[in-house]
Order: sequence, then C-alpha cells, then structure tokens
Amino acid sequence: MRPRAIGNITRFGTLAIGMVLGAGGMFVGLAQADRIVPERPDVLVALGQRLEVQHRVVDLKVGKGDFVGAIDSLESLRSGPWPSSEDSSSVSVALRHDAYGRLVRLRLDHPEVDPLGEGKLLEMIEEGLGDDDTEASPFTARLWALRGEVYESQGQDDEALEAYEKALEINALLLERELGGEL
Amino acid sequence: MKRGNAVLLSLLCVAACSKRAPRAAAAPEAASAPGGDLGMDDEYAAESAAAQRDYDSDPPTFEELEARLEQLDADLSAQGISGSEETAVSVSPTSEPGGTPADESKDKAGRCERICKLRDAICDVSERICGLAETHEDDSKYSEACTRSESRCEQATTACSTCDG
Repeated sequence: MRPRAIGNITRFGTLAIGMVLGAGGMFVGLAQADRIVPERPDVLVALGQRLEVQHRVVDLKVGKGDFVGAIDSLESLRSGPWPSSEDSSSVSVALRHDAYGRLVRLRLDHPEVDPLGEGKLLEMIEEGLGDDDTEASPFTARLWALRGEVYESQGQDDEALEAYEKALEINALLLERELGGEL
Repeated sequence: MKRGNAVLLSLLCVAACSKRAPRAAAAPEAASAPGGDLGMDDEYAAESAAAQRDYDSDPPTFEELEARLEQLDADLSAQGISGSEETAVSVSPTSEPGGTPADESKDKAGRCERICKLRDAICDVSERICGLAETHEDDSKYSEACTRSESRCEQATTACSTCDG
C-alpha cells in the first residue's frame, strides 16, 4: 500500500477514535449530570467543531484589530443552523449563548462597526436566549447581563435591573455549586 | 487533528462538568491581544502542517489528547485570547478521588480560577445594579437590589480569597 494511502487510513482512523471518544465521553457526562441523552449526539459534535473553528478565526481577527471581520464571522455563526436542545442537549444552548454573547459584546464595544440600533441588539439577545429550558451556565448569565446593559443604555432601568438580577442569580447559583452549597 | 481532538475533549468536558462550569460573565473582548507578525494565512498554514503531522502518526492516547488540550489552553492564555480562554476555563475537568497530588493541585487551581472569575462577573453586575440605585435614590426596589448584590459580591470575594489562600 502506498504511504499516502496508509496516511489517509491512519488519518480517518484517528478521526474515528476521536469521534468515539468524544461521543462516549459526552454520553458519560450527560448520564452523570442526570440529563436526557440527546437524540443526535453527532449534531452536538458537529456544532462543537464548527464553533471551535469560528471562535479561533474570531480570536485571530480580534487579535489583529479586524473587528469588522470578527463581527462578520460571528454574524455568520449566528445565522446558524443551531440545533434544538432536544437534538443535542442543553450543552448546545449554552454554546449558542456563548456565541451570541461574544457577538453582542463585540458590537457594544465597537459601535462604529456596522452600527445597529439598540432595538436590534435587544432582538439579537432575545434570539440568542431563545425559550429553551436550560441549565445555568456562565454563558447564559453573560447574555442576561448584556441585556441589562442594552436596556440601561436605552434608559429602561426597570428592565435593566431585572436582567442584571437574573444574571446575578445565575452566577450566584454557579458559585454555590462550585462551593458545594456553602453559600 | 489537534483542533478536532481539542473540540471533542472540550465537548466531553462540557457535558461532564457543565453543572459546575463557571467563567467570567462580562468579560470584554480582547481589543489588542498580541497576535505576532504572522499573517493569518501563515498561522493557518502552520497549524495545518502540524495537523498533517498528527494525522500521519499513530492515534494518540486519551492522556495525550488531554495533554494537547492543556497545551492549547496554555497557548491561548499566553496570547491573551479571551473568548476561547473563557471556554477552556469553563470546561476544565473536575477532580476525581484518588488523583495524584499534582492533579489535585491543578484541579484546585482550576476551581479557584472559576470561583474568582465568577466573583468578577458577580461584582461587575453588582456595580451596575448599584449604579442604577444611585440614579433611583427614592426607589427602595433599587437600593434593596444593590444591597443584595453587594452581599453576593462580598461572599464571592471571600470565596475567591479563601480559595487563593
């Protein structure tokens, strides 16, 4: 067999092992977390790979000061497709919150880039949060805090307070878990 | 393959640890992370070449994959990259009983980092709530929310300080 063919076989073998490891670990994790095993674990793996690549690209663009490109990349990510939590567990929802949070943060920090009205930003946050029933995650907390920030900039302080308190509640819960219920 | 392994390991850890997966909730994007002088294409090319080398070698063991993931975390942290760094922190594996002292020390450091990042996020939000309270001095709803959030911030600060030792 030619060395290149052997290399290809090894490559796909390695990929298969990686897939099995990842999927296996994910099932174990879900079982440990008392969650329902997702209908389509392969969808979660594919989503993770897509996000990893895009976040890396955004890292590079931000590092070079290319905020237009970074926002474009995140907008492209935002356009989906995003799997449902039924298909790929609440992990995918947390990952979506992470991507949206990063996009909104960038847009707030660089309003000169493709300016959007605050109404549009709020729509974006709502879209990111969705109506999924999710586990507490720091990504979700950040998105709520961003929602408060946008409301505050609009002078809608009651709504801002509500959003900040939601973010605080999630973070406090996560801290409590981290401390083993000491709080 | 390096990146793919990292993704799969990240997913593994996300699923296993997401109930205990904190990270800073309000960290801004790194506006000027040091990127070096390499062009983006060069960086991709270097990574691609490394991936090719990985493809052509024997399949890595699970321990090797973990070591690679840790190396990736370290690389990203060294570059001051915020987004993936936060993700990496959030998916750090938790300690298992019976680990080596070195493992336990590393797990403790990871836990402390998560606690302190949560402290940052909690105190950032508290600051914002109390900022609102200042402009609504006559509204007890705001002042009470400020008091509650300050208490949360103090608790988190104590937890972080205690953890850091």
